[in-house]
Amino acid sequence: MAEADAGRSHGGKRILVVDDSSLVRLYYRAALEKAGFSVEQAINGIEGLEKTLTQAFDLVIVDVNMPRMDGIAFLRSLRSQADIAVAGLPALMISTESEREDMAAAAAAGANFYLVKPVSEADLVRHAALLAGVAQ
Amino acid sequence: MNELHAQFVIEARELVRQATDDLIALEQDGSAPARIDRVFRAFHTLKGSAGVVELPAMTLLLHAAEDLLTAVRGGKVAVSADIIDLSLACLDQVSRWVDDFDAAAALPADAGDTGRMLAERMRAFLPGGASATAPAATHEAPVAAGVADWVLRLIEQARDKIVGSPALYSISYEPIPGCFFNGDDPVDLMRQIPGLLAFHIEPRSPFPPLAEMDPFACNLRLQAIAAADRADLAKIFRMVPDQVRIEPVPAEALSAPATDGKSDDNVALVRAILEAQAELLRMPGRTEGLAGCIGAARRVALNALRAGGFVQLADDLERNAPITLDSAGLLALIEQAAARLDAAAAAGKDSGVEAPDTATDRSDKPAERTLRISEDKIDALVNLAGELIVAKNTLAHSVKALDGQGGNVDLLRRDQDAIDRLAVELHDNILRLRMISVAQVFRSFPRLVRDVARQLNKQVTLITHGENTEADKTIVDRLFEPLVHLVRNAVDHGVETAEQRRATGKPEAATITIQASHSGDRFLVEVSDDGRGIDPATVRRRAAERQLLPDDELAALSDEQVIDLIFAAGFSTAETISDVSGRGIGMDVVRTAVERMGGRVTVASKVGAGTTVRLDLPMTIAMSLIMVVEAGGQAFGVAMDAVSETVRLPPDRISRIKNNEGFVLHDQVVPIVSLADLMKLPPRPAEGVSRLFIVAETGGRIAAFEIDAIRDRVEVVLKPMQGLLAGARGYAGTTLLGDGQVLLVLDVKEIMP
Repeated sequence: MAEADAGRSHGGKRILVVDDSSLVRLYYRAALEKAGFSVEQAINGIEGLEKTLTQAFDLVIVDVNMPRMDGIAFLRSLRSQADIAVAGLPALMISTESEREDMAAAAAAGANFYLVKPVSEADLVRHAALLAGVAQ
Repeated sequence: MNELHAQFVIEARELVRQATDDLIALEQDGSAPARIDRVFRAFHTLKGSAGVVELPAMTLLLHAAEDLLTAVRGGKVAVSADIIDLSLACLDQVSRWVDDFDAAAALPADAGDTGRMLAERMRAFLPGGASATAPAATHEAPVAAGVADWVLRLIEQARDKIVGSPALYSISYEPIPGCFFNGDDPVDLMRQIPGLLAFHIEPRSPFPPLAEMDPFACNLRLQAIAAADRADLAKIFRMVPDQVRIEPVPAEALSAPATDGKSDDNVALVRAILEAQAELLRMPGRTEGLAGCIGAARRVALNALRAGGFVQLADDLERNAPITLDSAGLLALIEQAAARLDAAAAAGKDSGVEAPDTATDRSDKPAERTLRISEDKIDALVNLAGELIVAKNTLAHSVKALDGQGGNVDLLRRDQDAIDRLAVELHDNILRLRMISVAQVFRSFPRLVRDVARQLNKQVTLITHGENTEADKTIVDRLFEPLVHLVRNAVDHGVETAEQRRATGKPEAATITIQASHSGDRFLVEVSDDGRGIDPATVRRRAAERQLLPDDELAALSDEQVIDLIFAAGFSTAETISDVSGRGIGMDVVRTAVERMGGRVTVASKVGAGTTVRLDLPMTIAMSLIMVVEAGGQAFGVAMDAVSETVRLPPDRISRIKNNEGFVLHDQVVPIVSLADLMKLPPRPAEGVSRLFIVAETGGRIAAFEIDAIRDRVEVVLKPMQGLLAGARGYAGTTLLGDGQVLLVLDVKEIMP
């Protein structure tokens, strides 16, 4: 399915990937770029916050468990920013945690959607496209 | 080996090494929470990475280790030599597997069994023993997550058998390759499932040619959906909980009438996304971040509808839900859209039904007293005023020419003065239209500081001064990024934790001050903290490591000068593989951003007392004052702010040091650079009389550029270099002179020796 998406333009939609694992970032970036997104990365919530404040994105994909500032704290802070364009950034949370409480915590912090790792390339692209508003 | 695999190997080795060091340190100096945390994190990251490259045996083992460390971290299990030994054994195993993977892109055949044995030994340390904490099998599946394609396929197969909307579970069972030797019979287990509705078996990876196939290694994935009780299902798979996933099938997956695969998956996913937004809005007791949540839910609902092809539904939602709508109002509209999804899908998606107007139109705001003018119009005025300044300079040129021919130019000169004054005033006033206060930039910082500080267990008070200071819109806009970087750095690296501060006799709460002010025509912004300060010795060591300067030059720098090296490109490391191994702070990014605006950045710091970073920016970037000089028979412009003085010296003041010339000015040796030489122009024949220099000072360096003559000082609109010369180093830009000549303006910083 991902192959079918190759080369399709996703209108240059910009996605910020916030994850402390360089491997996960590489995996997401490769899949998303193949689908036509442009991808920026951050290694923790603090860096993610800094990037969302200074650059415009269509979607942020964020991990839960990260050092220094985790995904939940990141989302809480993001949603409380004064600039509504920043505060209202669509957010997809992807985590290894699959408990109901984890998902409820994500929604309470302001995650728009939640996926459990591992996520296939095709699923990642499909969800990113709908959340960022790219016509299928 | 592909890039992902290569990256995995590098990262895994680094994490294993770091976790090993930490485990050994833990054994030696006891259970420091920060240390346990680091070990946990390394295992956690390793586990995630093993999942990405699909190494189930490694994932399983690391999952067990992570559970054990979670218990240790939470104080449920005390650190013991046994636990440390076992954790180290686990790392050894992972390390061997990484080597195998590096060599053969696969784990050895016995990896599953090895991993399982070690995992069981780790689980034995957990309260409640092995079985109580077996992973995943009984976890609730994400309701919001999209439904897997295979589940939808099986539902279609079983559609005739599904009556009403029973509670369905999906079961995915991937037996380990060695399962037959454990006495497992995967197909028999599946056969025992009560209420089995549909069933599918497939190979996990393509079967090899018959000759190479190992008939004793299980390579199957078994999938099923069943209308059964979760507890019954868990009981059947109780011996293999790590190999099976049992998840409830969301009700909406049943209702999705699948006719053609993918697009209907999308309808289901759009619905799931809308429902997740509804859930987000229904969350009770939200106070902080409410506007952000509403904004994001609205944006995502519109995105999903549009992207899913429900343009009419999206338009209706957008029209009825202004961004100012409250949570309940938006919730109702999103639920309405979700309810109309099926009808719209059946009717060919785009023929949405006319929606009732439920939200009130809030466009009847009182008219504002200020005039809103588009930026484009103001920019057009700025350009016109700039051209007027050039025309004014032309007039001055003409007057001078007339004067030289002996004409009476007194009247003309009076008119010229008046036009000069008006043109400059007009230009200033127009530029002022573009001035905005920094208040909107400062607005973001209290929140940023609070959230980051809290996350890092620090107490920080933020003070802002000069919110009403104004500067050109372009400057203010561009200021934001370096400022965010500086403030984040101050919280992140500059200030100490409350305990550290208490230990050094400082108040527990650190203070960060952001201050904007004007000084003459300069716009100054300072970020200061009362934190630990920058240690020149550390900077010196790091600069030496990275070979930023030759050793002797580095040694010659004073401590103050050394601190400036934090702005040097290459001082900060590029992104390293993970946060645990440290990361640079990227001050060169700040410097580049500031210099691009025509500003300068300096830092002052005292160990133990704090750091102040000062941005010295122009108030506008439209006009620059330049000096027109002549060298080698050609005219060049030099920005006045780089010129500290002009001097004319007799030949005997100039001394020769080897191949270079220089002179002493204000007790300082100033090296001489011939501008004609630099520009590859013929030097003017020596006259044996005095020589003329412009002395420029920047970034702590000083030089005297020898020139033939100074022609003029003018205020000009500087245009960036274009076309072939766009990337040329050493030029700040071009400008049109009064006589129509194009003047190249030099960037003194770049041509400094």
